[in-house]
Amino acid sequence: MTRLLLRFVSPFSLLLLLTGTSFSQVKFEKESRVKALMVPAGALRFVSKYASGNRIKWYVEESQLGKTYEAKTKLNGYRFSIEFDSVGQILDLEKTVDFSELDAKVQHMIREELRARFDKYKITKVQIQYRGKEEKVGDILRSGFKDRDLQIFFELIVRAEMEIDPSSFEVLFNEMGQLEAIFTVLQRSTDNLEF
Amino acid sequence: MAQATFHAGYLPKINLTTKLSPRTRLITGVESRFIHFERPEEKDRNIQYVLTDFSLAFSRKFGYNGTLNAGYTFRERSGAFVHRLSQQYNVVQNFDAARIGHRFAFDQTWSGDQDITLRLRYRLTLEKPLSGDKIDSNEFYLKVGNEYLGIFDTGGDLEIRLIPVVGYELNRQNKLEVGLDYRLSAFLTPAVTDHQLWSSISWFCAF
Repeated sequence: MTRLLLRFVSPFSLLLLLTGTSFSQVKFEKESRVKALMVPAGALRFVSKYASGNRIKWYVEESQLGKTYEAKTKLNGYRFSIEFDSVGQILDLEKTVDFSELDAKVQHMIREELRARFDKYKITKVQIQYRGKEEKVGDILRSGFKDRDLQIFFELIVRAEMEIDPSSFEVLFNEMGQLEAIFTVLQRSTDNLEF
Repeated sequence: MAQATFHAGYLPKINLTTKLSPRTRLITGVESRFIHFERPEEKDRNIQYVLTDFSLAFSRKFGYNGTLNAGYTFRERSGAFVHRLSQQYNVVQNFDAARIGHRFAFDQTWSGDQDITLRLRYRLTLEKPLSGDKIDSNEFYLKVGNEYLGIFDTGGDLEIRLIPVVGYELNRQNKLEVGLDYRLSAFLTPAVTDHQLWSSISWFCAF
């Protein structure tokens, strides 16, 4: 969802700056496994060209912004998620990393922002998002080469213990470590695990 | 040598959760027990009502994934009334494609003039989606629980439970679970060991 939202992120960030208000939308995303034969041809072509030989799990994801297809795979010890739109055009590539793998200056900027927004927090997941032309995104998978034309974002899942209500948030930062968007991740109830 | 006993039947349950504030909830529940088969009588009997538990618990969240629950259960069994107080501490761990719940509980049960029975319990529960990496509305999931109950009454004993169920999340507020609840009681006293196999159906509703 945040991948499609990126088109609106920059004006959104400007709005945040101008109004000085903090704003958190609720993240809605429904994901289900899907067979490869249900996936658009363009998506299959990309995966076959840049991630052939890897075990691929396909998912269809529905959110407020529409329907997308996601290929998940593991390569060189990293988990990758490749997202495509409904006609098979690539939207972005996400690579799950440890927070410590980010540039030190970016880590510092992110920590400062999180400290300012949350009483107590814990980063539970970090993904680097790459957006750009298909072949440049594909190079990340094939050789790890990062073309300078690629747009890079950092998507974090943050568990925050706030005064009122502990919650999970999906927080998006740009390549410089500046906040772009925050989404509240709805938690499933735990009643069936407790009672 | 004494023969182990065996009971089988049904456990229908409703669990209603009402959010009072971002950190507190009120939980009410009704659970009944119906027996269908017993050994050593070796007879397939008609389904017979055994008991009903009416529960009320107050829950408070501590930290991100811990909760403290305190509750009271009123049991009606063959016209007799049983009372139980319980205190629980729960921790739920969230992983990419699963959740694990740890429940530590202590309960005190008494009825009429009978001595109070104390139980210390630990239950581990694993919940995993059957489609995708997370459980969404209109999706199935698998849940398996394993519980150990230390029973401290005149003798003291151990009960072990295994609870595999298939769940269906209708929406964020409603879950339906169907499965089995196997109980091995008097584990430390083979002469009176009792095996129980219950078919469970549970509805969890959160307001």
